[in-house]
Amino acid sequence: MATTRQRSNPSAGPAFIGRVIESSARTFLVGCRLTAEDIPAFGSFVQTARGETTIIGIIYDLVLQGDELTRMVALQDVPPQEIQQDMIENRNIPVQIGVLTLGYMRDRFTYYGIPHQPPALLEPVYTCLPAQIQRFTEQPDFIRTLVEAREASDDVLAAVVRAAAAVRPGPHRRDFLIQIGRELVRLLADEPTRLGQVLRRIRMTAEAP
Amino acid sequence: MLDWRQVRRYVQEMADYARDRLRTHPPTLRYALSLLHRFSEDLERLQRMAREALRAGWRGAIPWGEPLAARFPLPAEQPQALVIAADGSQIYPDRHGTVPYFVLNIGLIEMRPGSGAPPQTWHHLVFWYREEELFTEDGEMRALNDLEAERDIQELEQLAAAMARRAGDPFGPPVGLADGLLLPWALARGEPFAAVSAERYRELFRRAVVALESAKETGGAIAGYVDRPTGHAVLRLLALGLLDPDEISREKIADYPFGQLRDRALFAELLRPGERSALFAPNWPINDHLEREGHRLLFFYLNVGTEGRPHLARVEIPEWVAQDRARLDRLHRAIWDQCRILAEAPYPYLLTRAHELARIRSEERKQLEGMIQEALLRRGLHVSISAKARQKEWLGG
Repeated sequence: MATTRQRSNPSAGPAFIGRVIESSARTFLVGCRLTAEDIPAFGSFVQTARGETTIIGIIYDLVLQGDELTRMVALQDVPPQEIQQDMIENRNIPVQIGVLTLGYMRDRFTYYGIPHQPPALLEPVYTCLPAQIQRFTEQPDFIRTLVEAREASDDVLAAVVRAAAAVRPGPHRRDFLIQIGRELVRLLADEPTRLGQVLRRIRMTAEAP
Repeated sequence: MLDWRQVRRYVQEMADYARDRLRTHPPTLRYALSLLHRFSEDLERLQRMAREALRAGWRGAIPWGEPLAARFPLPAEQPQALVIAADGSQIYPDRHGTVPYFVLNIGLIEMRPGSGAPPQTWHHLVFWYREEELFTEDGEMRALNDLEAERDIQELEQLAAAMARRAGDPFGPPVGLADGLLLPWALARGEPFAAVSAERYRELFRRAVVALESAKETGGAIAGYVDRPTGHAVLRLLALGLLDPDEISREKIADYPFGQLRDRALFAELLRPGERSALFAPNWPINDHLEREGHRLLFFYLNVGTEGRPHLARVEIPEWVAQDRARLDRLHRAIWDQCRILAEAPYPYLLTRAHELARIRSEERKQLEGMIQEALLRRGLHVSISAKARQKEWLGG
């Protein structure tokens, strides 16, 4: 598991999250040790590399792995408040992050879908900068992978749309959401119930503070 | 790689040996326990004999003044107690590596039980790379004993400094816990066996005294916590008590009746959960020097286990902690409370966390090595590791 971490800082470069510990064509797992406040959110955009290719994905799953110390503390009926706080705020606990690959960038071009090769094991994984997210989501094609993915729930889909909207200034944000809405109507034309639920979730997350 | 056929045979033999040893213990243990009670109030005679026996090379524990078989109950819960713990780990210089360096990472953690606030954690990092730091005057790389002593003394210094920062804290005087012996092992062993130069020995001693003085001034208590202690200093005292004062000699002292029995087995029979034993002073040569400085070292055993599952720790303290019952009780209670947090494996929670903070993981070692190589390359310095180290890398360690 990777242990180095940098707190997210927009003025700095992308923040290091962890390293690839399992990899397939469509998804990869990132292993890391993070305190609770440093754990990235569902739907966050992340990047890794395979040679000259930058692979872009989103976080669809997070597994916080309790270790022996966590388990021993948990054996107490009521662990002291200080110890609970220590576990949450101070300890770097092992975290496994599931990432769904949405596409990749090479030679200043953006491609949607799976790259030619999955990321190599132990390749570092970083957060995406707002400019990268904006560029990658210029075309609504990234939505198809999310809609079709078994791994990502519609909650994750909504969180991804929210993350992509959040990096756009006010009027562009609205345009972006309309564009995504149209794409979803096209992709889910045969599933009106699901479409309604997805659009409601996007509206809820977009309106959330 | 291991030849498992050979290993299996030895493991079976070892298990038979352990079983047979265990079978022979009970009569010896009962005998030792009966002596502990028999000599319990015989303090003056034992103290006199211990002084006499020193000349014949005897090593053991001297009673401090409390009856040998005394049991001190768990003190009442403290309304507030500020507990600080420290532990250290290191990367030794590798003569097969790119460049030699020594890293010392000391993890410290402070907790205010009952406050609801998360403990505070911090690190103290030492990074030695200069010739004068890593090599002796005759050009030899510093011995591991010497670097270990540096780790131990810095742990003590950092713990005392952390306590000093909390002197006068409204939460009360601090309790400082170090992992293992309170003093560097090199000091405890005594100068002829410390494997460091006389000058270095004196330097370590001076630094230890300054740190202990600083801890004392906080009004708190400092201690070294030894889990699963292997000493038999009290048993040696009991064996000494069997001798006629006029017949103390090297030969008589060598005739030791308790075999491989340890003090912890003796006190596991005596002490109930939460109770501490009487105080004893190890008769290490260093202890006379420490006494002159006002920091004579004492120890007691403490049962941190539960009913039917005793678990003994040896707690080392300076004499000034023992002389102030409030400090001693605060320490006794704090250790017990810390051990209750991880009741399944009774060991102070904060020492577990200090160890976790101090530990340098293998990935971190690799990352540091990569960072050093990159920094050197950027300065046009071509570095290489030895052929042996390269082979180890290929073979995965």
